[in-house]
Amino acid sequence: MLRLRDIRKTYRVGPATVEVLRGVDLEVNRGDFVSIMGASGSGKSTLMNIIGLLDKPSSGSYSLDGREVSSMTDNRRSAIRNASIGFVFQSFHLLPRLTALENVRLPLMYRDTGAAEMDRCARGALRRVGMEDRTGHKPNELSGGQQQRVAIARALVGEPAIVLADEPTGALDPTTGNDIMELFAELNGDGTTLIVITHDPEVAQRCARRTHIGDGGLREETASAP
Amino acid sequence: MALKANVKEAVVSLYAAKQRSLLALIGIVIGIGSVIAMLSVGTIAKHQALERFRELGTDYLTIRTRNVDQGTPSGIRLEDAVALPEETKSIAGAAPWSQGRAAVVYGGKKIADAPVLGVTGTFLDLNRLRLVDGRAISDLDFRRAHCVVGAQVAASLQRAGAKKPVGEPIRLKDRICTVVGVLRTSPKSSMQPFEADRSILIPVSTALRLFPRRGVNQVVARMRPEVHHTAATKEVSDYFRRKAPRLAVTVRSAQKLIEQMQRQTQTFALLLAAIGSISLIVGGVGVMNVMLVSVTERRKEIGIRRALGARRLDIQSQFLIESIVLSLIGGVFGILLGVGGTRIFCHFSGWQFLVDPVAAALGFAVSFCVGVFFGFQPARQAARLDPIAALRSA
Ligand SMILES: Nc1ncnc2c1ncn2[C@@H]1O[C@H](COP(=O)(O)OP(=O)(O)OP(=O)(O)O)[C@@H](O)[C@H]1O
Ligand SMILES: [Mg+2]
Repeated sequence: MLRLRDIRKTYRVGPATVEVLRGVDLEVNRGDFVSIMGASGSGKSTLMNIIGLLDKPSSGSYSLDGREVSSMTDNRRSAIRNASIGFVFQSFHLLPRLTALENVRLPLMYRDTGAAEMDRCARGALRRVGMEDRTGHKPNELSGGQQQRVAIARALVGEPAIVLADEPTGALDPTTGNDIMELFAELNGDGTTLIVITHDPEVAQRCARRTHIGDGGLREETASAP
Repeated sequence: MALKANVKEAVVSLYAAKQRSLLALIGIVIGIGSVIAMLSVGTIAKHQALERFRELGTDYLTIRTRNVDQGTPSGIRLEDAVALPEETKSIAGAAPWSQGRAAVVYGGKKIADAPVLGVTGTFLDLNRLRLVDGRAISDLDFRRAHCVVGAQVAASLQRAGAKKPVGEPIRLKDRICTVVGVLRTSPKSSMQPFEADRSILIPVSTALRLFPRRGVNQVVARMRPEVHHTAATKEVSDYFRRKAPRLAVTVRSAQKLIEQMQRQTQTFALLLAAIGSISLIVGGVGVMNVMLVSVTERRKEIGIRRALGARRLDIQSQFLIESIVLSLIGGVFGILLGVGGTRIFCHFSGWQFLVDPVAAALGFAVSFCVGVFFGFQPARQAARLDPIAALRSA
């Protein structure tokens, strides 16, 4: 469903230019469960932002469901982000003034969803990540792990076709991290496509496809683990 | 996104920056307050003027001779005054009258010192005066000693022992007059050159003998409908100049008086309008400043919302709604301030206080427009932020 060909991304820092991605090729089909591993600063988050239509590559082609992304209008990209993509950001990115429930409800605010329906969906998503008893808490009243789970709930609430998770278990203890990976597996079983960025080999182990990013390129791990 | 949620979020975020919001509000409050006060005072002035003439009617004219030189007081010839409606196009009715003053003696005792008005049969109708008892002075009372007494005079008579004033004899100067009617009490008007409640009305023919003079010195008249007061005033002045070239008459009209009153309040309104518009601009700039700071501070929030699927338009309307909400809050307090100020103004001027709903609605509309106008640029700026750059900001 998504196909990246020779994706490059360069940043200009003062007079110098830094090429973070140097020709990434990636094909992800519906229902895939992909992990991306790589050293810090290797461009994982950059790639995720490009896949999630937040950022634009400097060059290369990216087609989503057969449509070239670079030709899409800003409104179209926003609509796709809202309807089809769920982001779990590395640093959570929760809105500090809103409660957990309100944060989770946010994606639905940009759809034609009734207030009661929004609440129902948001509570459901919070329940899936085990945060149903913290709905009224603001982010600064939650632990890092709890914030991460709220961020995951927000990514799931709109039932997106693709979930992009940047270190979704980074702030979680092994048990809770395990629960989240189980939840992801369950979502994957329901047909959701998942792309998980992680440093944790155990997390990567639970993904059906494993990729590694390094030197600006993406490389698939061929041997499938048991 | 639902408007309600947007408004709620706007209130929350404005409240989070309450000091800054408050400062921005001051300008709006003063601006809207001045606008409201200006409009209210204008409306009240108009209302006041109309109220004053509601009893009397705005088609009322008074004509009086000016004291030119010494000698026997000259006057308007009765027949000239009576012929006014026939001889002019603008006058519908005229009542000439003369004024004297006499002690009122009843039962051998002086009970009052009252203005004695010499009137014709048209006088009561023209002045919208009514009777509570008896009958009016008619032209058939020619030179007879009949009188109609005002409400206060009637009260004095009753205190002096006249159970029912009608039929009682009273003495004015050296004549005994029989009371034939009693006037209902009527409010004093600044336009009406006499005070009916305190007066005694006698036939003008009788009055001209009691207070010897060559003619009446005053006429009250009513204009025909849809005649402008300047036209009527001119025609009447011309008429008397023709009929009595040596006489100087002054014509006053109720309409002109109203216009003068309104002109007075206009100066005041202009001042308020100037204060109002300057404050509104200052307030608007304050709103813009608050919004610009808010956009800068909330770059990250904007990035998050964009990542979650907000379109540029969603972001723009969110910030626009916020600036509108801010301005409307200022508008509400401004309306309160304006109404309060008007209240105080009325208290000291003795005018009747009232709230002009049109002014309040306009205050809302103006503050809404200030919000849109001064919030537009910051909102646009917010909408144009690059999502990634916004997300990365601290
Ligand atoms: N706006 C930018 N300007 C300049 N350089 C940038 C910018 N954004 C990212 N980079 C650079 O791109 C590289 C990749 O960043 P990225 O955030 O994708 O790394 P990452 O793989 O997610 O690392 P981590 O595991 O630490 O999250 C970094 O070296 C960073 O310095
Ligand atoms: Mg990263």
